[in-house]
Amino acid sequence: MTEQKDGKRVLEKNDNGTLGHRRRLLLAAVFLCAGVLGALSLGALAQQPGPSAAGSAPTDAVLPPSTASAIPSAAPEPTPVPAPALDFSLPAPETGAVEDDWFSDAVFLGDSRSDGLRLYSGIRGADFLAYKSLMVFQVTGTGGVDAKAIPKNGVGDKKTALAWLEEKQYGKVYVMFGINELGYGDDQAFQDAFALLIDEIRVRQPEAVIYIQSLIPVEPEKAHQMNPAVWLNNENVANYNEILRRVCADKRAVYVDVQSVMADDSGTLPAEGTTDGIHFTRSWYEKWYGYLKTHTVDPEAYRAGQGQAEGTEA
Amino acid sequence: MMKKLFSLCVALAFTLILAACSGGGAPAGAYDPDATAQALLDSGAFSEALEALDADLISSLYGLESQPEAAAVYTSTGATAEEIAVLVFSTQEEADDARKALEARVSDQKDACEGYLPAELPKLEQAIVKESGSSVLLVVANDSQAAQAALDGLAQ
Repeated sequence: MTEQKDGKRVLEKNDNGTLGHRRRLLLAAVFLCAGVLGALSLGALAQQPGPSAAGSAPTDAVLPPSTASAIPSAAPEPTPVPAPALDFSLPAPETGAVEDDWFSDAVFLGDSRSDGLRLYSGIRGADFLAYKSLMVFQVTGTGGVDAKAIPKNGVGDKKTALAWLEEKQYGKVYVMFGINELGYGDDQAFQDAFALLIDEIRVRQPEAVIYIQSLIPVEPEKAHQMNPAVWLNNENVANYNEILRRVCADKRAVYVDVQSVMADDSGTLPAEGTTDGIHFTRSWYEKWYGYLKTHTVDPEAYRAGQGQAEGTEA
Repeated sequence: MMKKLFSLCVALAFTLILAACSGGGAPAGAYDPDATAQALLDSGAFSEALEALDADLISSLYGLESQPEAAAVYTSTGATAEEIAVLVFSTQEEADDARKALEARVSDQKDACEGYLPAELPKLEQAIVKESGSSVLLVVANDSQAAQAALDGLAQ
């Protein structure tokens, strides 16, 4: 009403024509407003799920009214699909490459080869409990060998690797040992030490995914110039890798087949990839890191695998 | 008068050019990292090709509290204990601390190589650790005399 009144006042103020002309204008404005309001109302109705749409669905026709009105908001939420359990008898499958910062909550245990990975692969952010000549026995303190104190990241205070693992929680623990143990001459002791190591890591790092990396072969010619020991050969490397695969399957750790990218088809480290037959050139360290980036596992699948195996045992 | 002024300007310009070219950015009396490392690498004092270490890893390798202003570090990738480190700092105190860190590095390497790489122990015994100006230098070479000769050649 007020608008009409105001509208009239405006008309009276500005109109120079006859009264009939004003009325026609007023009527035209009223029809225009009514038309606009009508169009808006029809548009709004068309956007609502109307009875005709519900009626077109046969199932809706038999539903009671209260149920029918609840249809739009009652769509069942998708049931979370549990991650498929990881098969620990298989090596880590190839995946899309993770970003570099994926390793920022990782720790690497190993010998001088792993220390080379720290310095020359391009990896950043991970911690390294890696030291020249370190053996798995010197981590577990078994096999007639005392646990060895080593620095974290190559410098500073020294503690045993297990003591370091008690100080900080990681998301991933990578392990590579074996080249210095090749001459140990006791496969069962090697297997037992690795199994114990996985248990010890799991106690200290309950949330971490444990990756056991395969032992990388040697280049025999250069290696024997440095060390002529008969046990330093790729048959022994292959044997240790079989042991590591068995341990991973038994202890439910991820086996990462790094050697597959570092060695040639004959299972030998190529001469161009090594300085002394044992340690690697920068490009081969980069190759190693690249393999790790493309062979990761889903932590949920890893945990599902732990639970499944525990259930099986029970 | 004009001639004298012109000569003075030319002399000043040459002095400035010489000052800009000398040292490659290293402070007076300090080792030039790149030139020193290259002279050592070319000296034949090493038994293997050493790899250059990325600059962001240098402080953590030696446990340095101060970041060097300029540096060149080359190490073995694991086969030997051979190594070159040339580090330039902004202050003498930082260089003093770095010298201690390099000496500790030699000691740690001896511990690590004992019983594992015994052939490296004589190299570490003859390791060259020197401080010059606000720079420090570490050389662990297969032939320490050849390395020293290269350093002497730089000083001349």
